[in-house]
Amino acid sequence: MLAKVESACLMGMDAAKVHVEVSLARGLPCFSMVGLPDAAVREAKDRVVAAIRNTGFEFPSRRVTVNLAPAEIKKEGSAFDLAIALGILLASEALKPPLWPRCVWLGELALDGALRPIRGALPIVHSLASKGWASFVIPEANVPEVSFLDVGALHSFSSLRDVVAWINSGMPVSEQRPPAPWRPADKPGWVDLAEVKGQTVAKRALEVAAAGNHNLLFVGCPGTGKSMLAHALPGIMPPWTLEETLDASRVHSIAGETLHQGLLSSRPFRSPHHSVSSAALVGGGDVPSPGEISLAHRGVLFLDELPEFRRDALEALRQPMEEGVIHIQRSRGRASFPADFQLIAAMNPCPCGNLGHPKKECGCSNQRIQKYSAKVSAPLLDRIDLHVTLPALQVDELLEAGPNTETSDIVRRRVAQAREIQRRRYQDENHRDTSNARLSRAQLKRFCHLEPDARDLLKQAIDKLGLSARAFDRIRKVSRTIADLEKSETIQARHVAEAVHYRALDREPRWGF
Amino acid sequence: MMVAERRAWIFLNQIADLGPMRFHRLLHAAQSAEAILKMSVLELQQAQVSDQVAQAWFEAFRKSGIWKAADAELDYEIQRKFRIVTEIDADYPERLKELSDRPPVLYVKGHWPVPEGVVIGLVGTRRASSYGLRAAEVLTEGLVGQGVVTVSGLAIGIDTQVHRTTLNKEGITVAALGHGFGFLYPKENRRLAEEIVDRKGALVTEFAYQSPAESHHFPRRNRIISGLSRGIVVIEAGNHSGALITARYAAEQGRDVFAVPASIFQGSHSGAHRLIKEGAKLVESAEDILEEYKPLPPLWGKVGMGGVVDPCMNPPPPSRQTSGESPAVRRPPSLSTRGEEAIESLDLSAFEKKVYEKLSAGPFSVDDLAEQLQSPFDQLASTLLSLELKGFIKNLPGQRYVANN
Repeated sequence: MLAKVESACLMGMDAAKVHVEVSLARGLPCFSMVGLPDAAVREAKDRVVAAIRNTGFEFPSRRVTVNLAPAEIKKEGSAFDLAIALGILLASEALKPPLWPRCVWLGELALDGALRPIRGALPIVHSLASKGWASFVIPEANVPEVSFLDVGALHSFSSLRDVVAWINSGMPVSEQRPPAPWRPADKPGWVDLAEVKGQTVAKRALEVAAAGNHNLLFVGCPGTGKSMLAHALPGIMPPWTLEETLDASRVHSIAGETLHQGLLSSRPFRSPHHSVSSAALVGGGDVPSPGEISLAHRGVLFLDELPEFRRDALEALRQPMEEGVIHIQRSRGRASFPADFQLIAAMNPCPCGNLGHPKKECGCSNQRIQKYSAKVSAPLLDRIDLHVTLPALQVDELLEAGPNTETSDIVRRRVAQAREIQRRRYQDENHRDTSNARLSRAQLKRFCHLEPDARDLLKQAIDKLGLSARAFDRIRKVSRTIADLEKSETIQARHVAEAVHYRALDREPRWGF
Repeated sequence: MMVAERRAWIFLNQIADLGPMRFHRLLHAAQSAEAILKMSVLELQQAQVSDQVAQAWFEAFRKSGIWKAADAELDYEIQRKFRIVTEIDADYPERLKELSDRPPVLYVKGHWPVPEGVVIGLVGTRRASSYGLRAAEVLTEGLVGQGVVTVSGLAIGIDTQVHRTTLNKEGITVAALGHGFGFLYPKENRRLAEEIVDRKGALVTEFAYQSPAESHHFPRRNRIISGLSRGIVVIEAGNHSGALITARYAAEQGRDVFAVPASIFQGSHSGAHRLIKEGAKLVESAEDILEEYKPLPPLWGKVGMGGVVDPCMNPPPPSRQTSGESPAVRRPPSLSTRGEEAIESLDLSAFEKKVYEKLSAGPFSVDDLAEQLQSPFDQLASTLLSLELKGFIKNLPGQRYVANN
């Protein structure tokens, strides 16, 4: 009259084991569910009743009590359907298996008894597997995302009927299947650098950004290719690995985005529109769910028209940019999602976009320009290592390819080498990621030592060009990356000189605006 | 006696509707400001004031507490917040006295009076193009190098560039404001205003302490810019620009008017071009302006030449040379580029010279430079930075560089 079935639910990026206990008692037929279920879980009642009847069983006309333990965790989603249905069948003795091994049962039921895919299968299985669980039952449709995981036994079914048949057959352990081989997409469709006309400096800045994991801001008139360059960034970042895709896909799984296409086959590239709310950008909701920055985890977050974004949304970016993780507190729970993304932003130099254009006139007043640029707060700007102004292109530059037509492949090779140098240099560091951009102040001191002439140059540049003091650390980090690209152990004056060029917005305004 | 008269001047300066022209008519009729206050309605009407206004003034002059605002300003003067210079004070500028609508009272911060010698007003649009800003900078540098005192209006754009460049060249600059010292407009120039005062220049306004910046104040302040100057240079002005008002005042006041030409395709210059058509002198370099004022007074006001004389404390007699060019007068730099031999003598590497020569021809983006000089960006980056640090070139918006002449 009592049955216990194991299931699991998501808690942020983690999974918690949930015991589904079903008790049948004499009394007026009724079906009650306890243990902090949310709306989707409460509705499981109706789905389970219909699925059991349509699979050919009788729903017990007893007093049915379902308890989801531990009681204090809020349960959400539809992943418990299968476990609840099995619990009822076991308790009513419609199913009498000879043995009942430890297994986690996941799946949403359709009214006809079919098993539907669930959200977050990847992080649930990944998390429970790392806690020692070896056997999982999942819906067939969730297989693509989970099959690359190295877990003990993964059984997948497409309906309740199949599950019952498997149980009645004594639950033969299918052959342990090795994790499926995974390969990143061959041609992810990024813009190739060779397709971008002109903009030598911007391309070089993009390479430096990719090599050191630096955040980057492009400032330029409309039509200078800011957005095209941004779309070339993922293509020159180091190759996309299984480890990375598992990490990134877990977040996408929670957001329900991996249900059909499986693991991410290439680096995520998110470009939310500037009207995005702060909750949609950093994550939120009644029960916290990941936002754009978490979906860009391990990939690129592209914010076009940066000053047009809502102020609160931009300000909310600051903490995750620093820590690589976002903590969300809501009335109905808290969660942490990974958010280790590379930011690339673009903005016009002024509201009309023509400031600094050699031919066109800028019709913006000083106040409007200041108001426009002040929308990007100094603390946010402080977290962007490179800002580069893009010159307006002349017509002939658009028509013919310039001399520098390196393809993304060539650049990516250099980037990968520079990353490898960094990985080796920082491998003893106890830090989440090993890239120049993520160095702490203390690490900066140890690893970004400037040669005397480089130090002199930097000092002069800060004094004479009116660079802000905060530029000091940024320039050192970027110089480190430039030196790495050149495979130079030491940071020379020329590396610093180039890095100074990437601090366009730090310069003292000197032309009357 | 003098104190009471001054107080009356300051009081009358604050009366609404009592502009400089009417003030001077009344003064002519009554002989003193104190006497104006005692005029009957009839007498006021006889001084060509309409009946209504005469009645209103008559009552206003007899209200209780009328001295409050004027006394507050006199207190400020005692606290040295600013100085009040009325027309009856000794240091009221001679040149302003030539104007029929001269302001009865000036409020002044900084060094006063404006040094004798060549004083030139440079004005232009607030929405300046980089061309206009550069022209303003080059001309100002040339003028200040010859000891010229610059005057402008502290607006953003060309005005700011003129003041800023003068200060950078350690020259003296005067800003005429369109509001009282209780305000500062535009706000972003507050720092600039302080520097002008600190560095031997002056801020001057005819508006009482509590007058805010109002749009009709600014055309009025323009006549002070032209009034203080011997010539007015219009650098970039559209068809409706305030700079044209200044030029008109200048012409009425018998000052010289200069205008800087530009491309015929840019609307923002059409005002300057119209002035040229109407007879303003076309200006290509500071020399074009200076030759109108030769021989120049010796460079006594020039700072950085040793023996700095504080013009406020001890204004030296402007011992004008009657003939010949002063040996101290240097050739002013012009808009044209430096010659080959000049580049040769500079302490630069071969590549730096190449880049500098290139940039002397006009602004280039880094991309263009990289392409034209066939040089990779990292090499170019160090060269550009080193040239910039040495002061040979400068950075313009949009990743462009240009030679510093």
